[in-house]
Amino acid sequence: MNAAIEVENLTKTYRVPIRRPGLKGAIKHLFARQYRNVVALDRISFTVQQGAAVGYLGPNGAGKTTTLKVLSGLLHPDEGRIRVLGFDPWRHEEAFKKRIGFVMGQKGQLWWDLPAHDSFELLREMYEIPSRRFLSTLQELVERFSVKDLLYVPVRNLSLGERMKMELIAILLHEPQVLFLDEPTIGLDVMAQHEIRLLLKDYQKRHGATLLLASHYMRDVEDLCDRILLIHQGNILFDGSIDEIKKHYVPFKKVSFTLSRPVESEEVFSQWGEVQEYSGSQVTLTVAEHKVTQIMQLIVTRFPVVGVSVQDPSLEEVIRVAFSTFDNGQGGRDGVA
Amino acid sequence: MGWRKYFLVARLSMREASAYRVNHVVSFIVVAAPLIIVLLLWETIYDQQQKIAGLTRSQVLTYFILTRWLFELTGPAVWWEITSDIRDGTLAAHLLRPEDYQAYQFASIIGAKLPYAVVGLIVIFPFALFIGEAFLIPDSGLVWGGFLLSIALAMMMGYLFTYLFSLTAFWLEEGRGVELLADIAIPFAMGSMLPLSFLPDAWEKFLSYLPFQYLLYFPVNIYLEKLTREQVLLGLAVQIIWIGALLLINKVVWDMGLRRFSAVGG
Repeated sequence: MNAAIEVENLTKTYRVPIRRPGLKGAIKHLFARQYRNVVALDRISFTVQQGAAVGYLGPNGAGKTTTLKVLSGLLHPDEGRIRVLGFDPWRHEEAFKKRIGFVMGQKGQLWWDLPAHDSFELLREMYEIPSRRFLSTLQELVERFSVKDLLYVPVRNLSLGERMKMELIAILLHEPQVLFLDEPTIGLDVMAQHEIRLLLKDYQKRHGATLLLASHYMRDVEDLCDRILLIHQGNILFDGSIDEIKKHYVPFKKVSFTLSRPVESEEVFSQWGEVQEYSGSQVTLTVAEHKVTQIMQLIVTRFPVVGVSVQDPSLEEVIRVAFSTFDNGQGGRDGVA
Repeated sequence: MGWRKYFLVARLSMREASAYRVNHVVSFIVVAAPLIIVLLLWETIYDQQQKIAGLTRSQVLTYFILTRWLFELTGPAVWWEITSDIRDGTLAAHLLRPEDYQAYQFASIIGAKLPYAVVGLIVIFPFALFIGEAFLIPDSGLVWGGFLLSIALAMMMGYLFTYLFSLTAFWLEEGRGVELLADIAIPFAMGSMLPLSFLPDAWEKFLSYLPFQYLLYFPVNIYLEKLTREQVLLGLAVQIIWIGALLLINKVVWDMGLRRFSAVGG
């Protein structure tokens, strides 16, 4: 398989004007502007294979959107070498634009007062999609998105969820091979979020498209992606599968027991792991991963166990641990230079 | 570069604008209503004299009716669609598509203005009836040709100014200053309040160096047959030169704006 996205030593620094408070500051700013440099991306490198789905996680201001903007050609990189499908995004070639799609949260491209179908027609002209191809793609998308009956309804009369589906169709119509997604489900209710995820997954599977997804919603990432890039203050902290990241940062599992008779004290359990919950007949322990089987056997033989469950830590917990480990000394570099 | 997509943009924009035709009729009536006072005022002034600054009563009355209508087609404005695209970042969606934003907005604005111009013709018609025979209609095909051509060029110029004014949104969080300029100073310089020949010589001379009279004063003067053939040809040439210059200026400002747009990252 070929690489769809190649990033080598990508660096991007923003110049942010410094404004001092008050009238004096404002006047001073007018004549002698001062800037500080904010490093958004600090020599990051990664490669994404064609057909892969990669989640891009990080707190606000970590550089997620910046990366997507550089990769789609909206921003010029300061340094580094970038190739998307073999193209240099900054050259804005039409052939490149026709192969990518960028889903930007709530920013849409549909004509508000007209039915979505009109906007789709315009996109057909812009992307020069052959008529037959256009009809079959559109047919397929509106059926999968179950919005066939809404095609001729003015966009302003659609619900937010319906509108997001139409916006997504607008981006998928030209069948992009690489999809950049920046918070694609932001502001949607849980049901609509779930639906959008399924539709994206479906598109990705059928077209073998490459996905790069930046999101705050762990569910987005867990459902769609098989690989995660953790980014923090312009650096990539971790690059690997969801399982790997869990093992790396939180090598524990949650083991819960239901007992037929309450036990008087939780203290007997603390020799095996940290007690998270204790209510007499219900106990939850955090247990080191490699000891799980051994400890379960021990407990089952010594207590009247009627139920057992083992849970992975949630991705959210993992991310929290990852970022706090980083901030607590493993090289807390200041992003502001 | 295919032109078809821009024709489609114009058509969609026209359709969108037509959805608001009642609104158009009402707003054009509101805009045109004060015209009745202007016409009555000039009727009274012309009771005393035959000609003022070289214009007869008929010419002045026709001038005000015609400029009232033409202004809606060629007058520059700060275009909300462009400024909001820039301010809320929707511009990015345009940049990602195979599209030229200036051409796209040109098509969109022309498409929006054409239905409005038709509505305007209907609204303005009773005013022409009101002044009766005083409303002049040239009988030379050449005059009509020059007039229509100058309108087309004036619309181009007007759009390029609209685009330029709207691009200030790259730098200005709040564009009321530019809006005031576009809404008050420029209409005056175009000749929408008074024929420029009515102004003191120094003013007239000053304004003749600005491009704005070519948006309104010049086309209407062709219609009123106030210009010699050489003056018409020269004026059309000046319009074309301004269009070229504005295309260049807009390109530079757009590139600067884009650099600024990219600097505001996330």
